[in-house]
Amino acid sequence: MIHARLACSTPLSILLVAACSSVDPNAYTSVKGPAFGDQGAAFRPVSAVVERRCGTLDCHGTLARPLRIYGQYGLRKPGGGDAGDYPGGLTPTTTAELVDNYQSMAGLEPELFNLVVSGKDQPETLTLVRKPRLLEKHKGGLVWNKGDTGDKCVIDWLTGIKDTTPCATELMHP
Amino acid sequence: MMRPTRPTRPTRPNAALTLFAALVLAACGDPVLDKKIGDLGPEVTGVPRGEFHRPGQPCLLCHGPYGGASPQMVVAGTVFATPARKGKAPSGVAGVIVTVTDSFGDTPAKVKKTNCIGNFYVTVDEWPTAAGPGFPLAAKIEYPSVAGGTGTTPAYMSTRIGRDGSCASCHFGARANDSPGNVFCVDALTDPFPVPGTDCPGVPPR
Repeated sequence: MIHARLACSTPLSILLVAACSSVDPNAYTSVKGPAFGDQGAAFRPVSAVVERRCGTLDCHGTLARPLRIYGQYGLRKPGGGDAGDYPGGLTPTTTAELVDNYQSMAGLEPELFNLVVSGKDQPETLTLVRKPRLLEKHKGGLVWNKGDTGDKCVIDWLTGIKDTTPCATELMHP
Repeated sequence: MMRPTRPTRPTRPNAALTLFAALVLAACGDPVLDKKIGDLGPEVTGVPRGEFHRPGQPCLLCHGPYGGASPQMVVAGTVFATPARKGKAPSGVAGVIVTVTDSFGDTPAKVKKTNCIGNFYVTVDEWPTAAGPGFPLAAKIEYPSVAGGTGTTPAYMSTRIGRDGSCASCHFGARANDSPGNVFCVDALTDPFPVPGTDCPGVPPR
């Protein structure tokens, strides 16, 4: 009986050890992302909405948040090199900050993000979409409902629609 | 015939159970908030607990749901004369009208003005709805005109308050990448307002 158990568990153990040791910490996988544009031109309108609605210093404009958002009126990326790089300063959101915001949004759920951007899954599967709609627990509460201009701005970006009018409209709201 | 019942033993608290209960209770605290509260330091000598104490500190750490100190506040902070600069703390400004409007358009039941050390606060009871303000909030200050007279000059906060009613949670110290600096009236090097007199019970932050 004991021998039988050993016989069953040994291959399993070998498999487990092999599974653990097969991870290459230096390996990386490319995932498909939505448009960023030259110097972040395609992403800047989306980032502006997220900066305004999510990136205040008491919410996602904080180093401790997994979804960390930099911006002109929120957290500034350290080492910007400009004396005006403080929240509310005159320096607009820099390209380096846009890159970080993009990576922060994409890196939240990279596999799902890849599927959504590839059109293989619905945007609603992303926490990035679900939290502001309050479809899952969100300390910051309801940010927008499905179909609101802010929501449409993010969804359009994720699904490859290039019209940024909803982003501009959202930014006109107080 | 009835069976005799076994006498019950008096129950004694199990040491392991007691330790477990203590650990569970200890685990209910928030170590992040506990550290933030601890970092505020002790009271300044000579300033009793009250509306004049701890200018420039995040009030709701203690006067919020976690800290539990009375009175419970929904929004509170300190308005200073100028931005803080390295090695020099500005003084608070008295008589600044602070208006906070929530996302439903509600404002506190009465006009809020800063006291002689620059502090102001809105208690839970002063908010018109029992649920408290609906975030995000918009904020505006109206400070006494530096040109003299009885007029005031308005200044609007450029962003919304997302979820924290303590001004000093975001507005702390000098301007830096993670802080717009303290809440101030005039972006100047010198203080155009009268400094708090000796009759003011508070002490400006150092």
